[in-house]
Amino acid sequence: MVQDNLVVFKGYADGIIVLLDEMANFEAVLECFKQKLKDSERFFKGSRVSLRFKGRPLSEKQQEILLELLANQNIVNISFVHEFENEKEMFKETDYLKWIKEQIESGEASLTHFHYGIVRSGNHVHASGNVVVLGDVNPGGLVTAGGNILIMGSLKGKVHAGMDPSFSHPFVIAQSMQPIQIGIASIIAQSPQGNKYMDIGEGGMQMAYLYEEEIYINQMDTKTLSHMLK
Amino acid sequence: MSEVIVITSGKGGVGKTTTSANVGTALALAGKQVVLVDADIGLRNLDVVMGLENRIVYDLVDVVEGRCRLKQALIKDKRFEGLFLLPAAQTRDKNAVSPEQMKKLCDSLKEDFDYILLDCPAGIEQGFKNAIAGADRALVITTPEVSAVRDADRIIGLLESHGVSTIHLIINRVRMNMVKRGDMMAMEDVVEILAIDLIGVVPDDENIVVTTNKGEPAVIEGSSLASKAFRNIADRVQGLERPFLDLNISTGLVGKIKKVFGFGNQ
Repeated sequence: MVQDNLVVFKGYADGIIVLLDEMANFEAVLECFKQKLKDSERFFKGSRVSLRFKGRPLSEKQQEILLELLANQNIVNISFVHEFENEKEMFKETDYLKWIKEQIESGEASLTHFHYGIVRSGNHVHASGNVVVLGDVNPGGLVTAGGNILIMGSLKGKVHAGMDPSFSHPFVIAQSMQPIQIGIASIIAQSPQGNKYMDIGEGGMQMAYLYEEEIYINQMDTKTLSHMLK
Repeated sequence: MSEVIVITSGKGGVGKTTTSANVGTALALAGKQVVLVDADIGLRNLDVVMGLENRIVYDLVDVVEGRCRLKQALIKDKRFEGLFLLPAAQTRDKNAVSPEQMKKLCDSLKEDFDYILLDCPAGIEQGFKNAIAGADRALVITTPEVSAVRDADRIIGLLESHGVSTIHLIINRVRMNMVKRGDMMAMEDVVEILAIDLIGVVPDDENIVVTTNKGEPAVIEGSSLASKAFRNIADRVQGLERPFLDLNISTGLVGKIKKVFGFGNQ
């Protein structure tokens, strides 16, 4: 039987911390880690994460085994693995982390998830904070966010911004705005019938925002911004 | 260096099997050792397209389950030097094979062949996962239709997440006259959406239907535009530079007259 409390996944600012149990033997911890990875396949799907191992000192051999395990799986798309740290403390109080803490306490913090590349048909990118997509969102792709969504490319799929009701003035910005469906907060709009996409104008960034329970799409400029914030 | 290439599309009926047969044959004609593997277990038809149906004794599932040796199941195409077919089983389904077994099979084929072409079934289920398990690179086929492009997009995403990073695009059944009228998606639009490198454009060609039904790959006689396109793809797969075909060749009397008067490209 695999004990399931030997490995704990913990999200933090820019990745995931894998807490390994200090007392149990390494094989059991490894088994548990494999199992957890498998179980959270859906959670990790399509996203890139950086991993940081904590909790127990690892010998060089054990580090190698772990890295090999990561290299031979296709569940998590790992962007990079932090250097193994052998001290027990959870966080090092770096300036960055301190700053994040202050931000969160101030109540004005907003975390942003970056998606590198195209969101293809069948992919779903979601974050509780904001989402920035560095690429297109193709038809059939879905981007949802608690906060704002920024597409540095063509938006041809579905987006829903402002799913977190506490988020004020949620908006969607895209280089080319042709969504199949667009949602902001509780309002959903679809592309007009007949006209395949709602293609608005040429060139320049476009912005979708909510104004009096309706979604407006406009060229992004100061006028639009002031209209949104009214 | 040998390569395992999976030919896939997501959507059915866009020409995976035809492309497998023709590109495989063209590679064999170029002097390579080629094996075509039909990964469409239960709905095999690569053997029919190749005209080798009557020679099947053992199949892929027999090999995987150890009922015969790999060499016994390989069918040598007597028309071409160095072309072999590994047929799929017809009486079983996709679950008869696991991705690990496919990977092992590909690895053992790599010892004897330069190119292993896997004809992938439609869909994204078990059959697809089996087919891409051992693949080094992929050729994604699409037609210039919105539905086919959508499925190709999904497939590319899945290939990338499974670690197949070399992915090339083939646009099949292009009808230039329709593209010119604006009734069909232009190649540029397809490439823009999918954002992967184009390795070939194949025009819609009645000749393909004829040769497919006869069980002869179109590249054999090779006068048609489509067969030239397939041969070019085979060359590009080998890393050779080939210019893209001019598909704007007008046919019929009107076209010829226009050409004489220099209106050919209108």
